[in-house]
Amino acid sequence: MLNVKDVKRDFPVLKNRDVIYLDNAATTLTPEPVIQSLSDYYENLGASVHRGIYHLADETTEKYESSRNRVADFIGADSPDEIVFTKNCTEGLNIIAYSLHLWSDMEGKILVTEMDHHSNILPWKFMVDGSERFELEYVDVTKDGVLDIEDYKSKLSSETVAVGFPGISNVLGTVNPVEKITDLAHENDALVIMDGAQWLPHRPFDILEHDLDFLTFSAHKMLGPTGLGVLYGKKELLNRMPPPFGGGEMVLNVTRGEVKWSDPPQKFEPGTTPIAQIVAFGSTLKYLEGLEIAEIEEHVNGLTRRAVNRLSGIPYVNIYGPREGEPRGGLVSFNVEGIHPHDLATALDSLDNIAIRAGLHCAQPLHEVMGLNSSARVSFYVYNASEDVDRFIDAVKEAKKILGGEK
Amino acid sequence: MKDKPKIYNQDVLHHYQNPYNKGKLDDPDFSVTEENPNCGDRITLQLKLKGDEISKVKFDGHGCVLSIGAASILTQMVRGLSVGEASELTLDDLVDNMGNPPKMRRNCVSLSLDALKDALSEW
Ligand SMILES: Cc1ncc(COP(=O)(O)O)c(C=O)c1O
Repeated sequence: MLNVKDVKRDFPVLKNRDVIYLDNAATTLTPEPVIQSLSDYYENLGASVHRGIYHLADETTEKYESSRNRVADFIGADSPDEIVFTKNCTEGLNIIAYSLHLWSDMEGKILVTEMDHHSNILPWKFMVDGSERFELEYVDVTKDGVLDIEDYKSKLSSETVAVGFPGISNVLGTVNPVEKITDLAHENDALVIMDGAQWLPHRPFDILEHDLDFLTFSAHKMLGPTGLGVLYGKKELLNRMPPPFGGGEMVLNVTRGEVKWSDPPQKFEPGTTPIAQIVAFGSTLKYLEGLEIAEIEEHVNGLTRRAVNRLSGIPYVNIYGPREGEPRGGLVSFNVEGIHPHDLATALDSLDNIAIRAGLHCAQPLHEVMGLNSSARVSFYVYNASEDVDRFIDAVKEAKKILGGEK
Repeated sequence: MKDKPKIYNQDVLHHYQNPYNKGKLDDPDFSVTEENPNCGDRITLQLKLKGDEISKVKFDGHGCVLSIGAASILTQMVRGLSVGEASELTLDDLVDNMGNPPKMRRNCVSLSLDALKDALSEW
């Protein structure tokens, strides 16, 4: 069992600010060891990695690459060469889309889902718009907020180049059947890309078990520093993919006429990367592993169940996403009848310093399918206690009293 | 629960719960709809002029306390103003009449004002 009291003590923000932070699906708070690791870089390290011919550079490079090793271990990748550091999850997805676009013998259909975040829709939209080689199609979401597997099967064909989907939906909380999606795609020789932004912070993940071709996620959603993401790609794919960006450190040989790329992952990491953040992400993973991911999953599931149960008991609250008992990530989207979600967010903030998300959560197509203008969302993480859920519920009831029904 | 500041200024809440000038004009000179794609709020503002004076104004639509409250307050502010005077209204003028709503929510407040500016720019 996670000891929330102890965990909370690791988070300076929770000492410095009076806040019940329930917007963890957007970004998470930072624990002391990660902050320490960032300052350690700025105080004791600090050199361009892979380039400097001096001790300091050597030491920095070693820490830097040990972070990459840790990431590889964390997701069970075969080799650290399959780990590309990016700016965030979004950039990882963009790199894949642009790279497939540049891959001249690729053509056909891209499938994403109606429950994808804009960051797994727009890169593909940019890719197909005006292109004669590519088309984009969306897999339906059912009324119960899960992926319509029959629809998926019917849209998959030998024409399908790639399938993108969120491991866990950032609005519905739906936990998608990774293996089924991947197996069906591979039967059609399509590449599979999982947006892992909402999965990696909460659940154990083994890339080899799932046989994904690509996986992307963001450090800042799992207690890590901002400005950093990860793109995992199978080695043989990264080897063959053309890099969408050029710059320093990604080439072996440049003449005016010819360029020879470095091997992956450097091929996809042009220029100076966020060195401090990469080093600190190593400490982040160490911290998470110290808490144990399976324990985190259990803790967050408990809070989510409590929130779903208590919200379901309120007659004027509508909850979205999978039915009770179905797997759900650590978040709940909902609406309070007669109260605009933005007003609810302002109300919870004013009443009890409770931070929740309100709006479209970067998933406008999904809201359209759900027939909603917007929704409110709470999402949980390691420092949230069941008391936070209860205070949130009390504040929702209080807000309803004050803001009442719409005219 | 701690003793915290009121969620919204009581006037604004009152305007939201009992909005003034809500509905449609029969034959408006201008009708402009503004939408906030972040939250789906939508306000249609209609104006009727007599000479260069705003003689009638109505709004319709759906939204949060701030967008509906602001629209109601704005319609009260502009009736009887000349087009020139109304064009000079700023977001600060509106905010001043609303008891300082949260800064993060200013685009809710400005929805009806944007509609007004759009309408008057056609004049
Ligand atoms: C499912 C999902 N995908 C992608 C993203 C994008 O993450 P980032 O903004 O860190 O690139 C998010 C976060 O907002 C998300 O929830």
